[in-house]
Amino acid sequence: MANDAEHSTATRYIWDVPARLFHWLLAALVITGWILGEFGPFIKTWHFYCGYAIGCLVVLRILRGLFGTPPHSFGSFIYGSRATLDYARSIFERAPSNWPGHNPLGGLSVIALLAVLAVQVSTGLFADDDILNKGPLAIYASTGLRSTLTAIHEINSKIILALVALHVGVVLFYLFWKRENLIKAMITGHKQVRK
Amino acid sequence: MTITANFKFLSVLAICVAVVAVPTMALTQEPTEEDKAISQRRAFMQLILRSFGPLAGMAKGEMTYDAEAAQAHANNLRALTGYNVGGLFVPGSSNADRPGTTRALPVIWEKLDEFASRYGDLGGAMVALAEAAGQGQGALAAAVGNAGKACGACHENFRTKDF
Ligand code: HEC
Ligand code: HEM
Repeated sequence: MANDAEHSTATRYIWDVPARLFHWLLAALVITGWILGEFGPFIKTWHFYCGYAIGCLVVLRILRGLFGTPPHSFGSFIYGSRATLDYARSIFERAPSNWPGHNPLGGLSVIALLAVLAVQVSTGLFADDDILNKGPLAIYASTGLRSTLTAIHEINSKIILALVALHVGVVLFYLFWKRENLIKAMITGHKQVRK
Repeated sequence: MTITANFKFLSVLAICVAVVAVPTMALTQEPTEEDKAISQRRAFMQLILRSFGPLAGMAKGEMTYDAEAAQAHANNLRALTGYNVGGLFVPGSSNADRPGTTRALPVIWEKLDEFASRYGDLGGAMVALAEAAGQGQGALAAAVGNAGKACGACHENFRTKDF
């Protein structure tokens, strides 16, 4: 069974320093960058800086996903539809998953979050408000393309908001419903996992 | 014989004339009032940006502050935004009427008063900008930020991001 409540567990060091640093830096930058984009000062210099930093983090994470080792490599947490469905069916069990790394659904959320952030940063580079904020690559795009990418930048920012809310919501669901503290694991690196 | 030849000649001539004339007439057809209003108001906005762009550059520190140049741009902006744009927003020229050529939303014509008051705010911001422009980079940057907000407040509600 994907999620047997009977399994014996042990505490293991799962999230290394780069993983935890990446996670919390990204969280802080996305929240700051989002607020600056939507509500910040009209001159978006600091919004741009947040965006560039997020872009660097996303690129590093993709490199680690491609060339890194489990539990960070993409191959180690992208499961088949069978395993994913099995996991999804058992998700409402009131027991910790004790999954050693990203579980099949968590892995999907990693991919989804990296993808929307990549879209956000790349459209931001071409975005232009026609007033005084212009991404550094906007001058290389035609008026039509620029306006389309700027529109995508705005729509995708709402999708990011929704995915971040879902992410936090699910972590709280694990904490209160499944009684599994994923937050602590992402702070200390140590996680209670199946043997 | 000659009658049929003449007839043939005349029909060929008529077809040739038609082939040349129809597209030519189409090409030289006057743009409608609505089309003209659209291209003129877009050009008007570009003209504003032409003066506002360098001021934004100085405000952001991407260009070195030059009091005299800043003042000249700000004076132009004050003059430009004194222009009554009513005639550029003729009814029937929204992005619903002329898709692909304009980003002006139909709501402009539903809320003309609000639209006019946004434009009035811009005029006010430009008067303040003209007073601040020569008073140093800090004063300029603050006034540019406020003017930018006045632009954004109108674009946010009355213009789409994409065509
Ligand atoms: C009262 C409303 C209003 C204000 C204020 C306003 N704009 Fe606009 N602007 C519009 C509308 C409406 C359009 C869309 C015109 C169209 O596509 O037909 C537009 C379009 C533009 C465009 C694109 C023109 C093009 O080529 O399609 C630029 C650039 C622009 N505005 C710059 C500015 C700047 C800079 C300011 C402030 C200094 C400003 N606007 C203030 C209403 C406004
Ligand atoms: C993941 C990173 C990013 C997030 C979450 C983000 C989010 C946002 C948000 C919420 C807005 C306001 C949209 C609106 O309602 O109009 C915005 C606007 C903008 N962003 Fe970003 N952004 C990111 C990266 C970038 C980057 C890297 C750049 C360019 C270097 C950039 C350039 C812009 C510009 C120019 C605007 C103004 C567009 C407009 O309002 O017309 N962004 N961004």
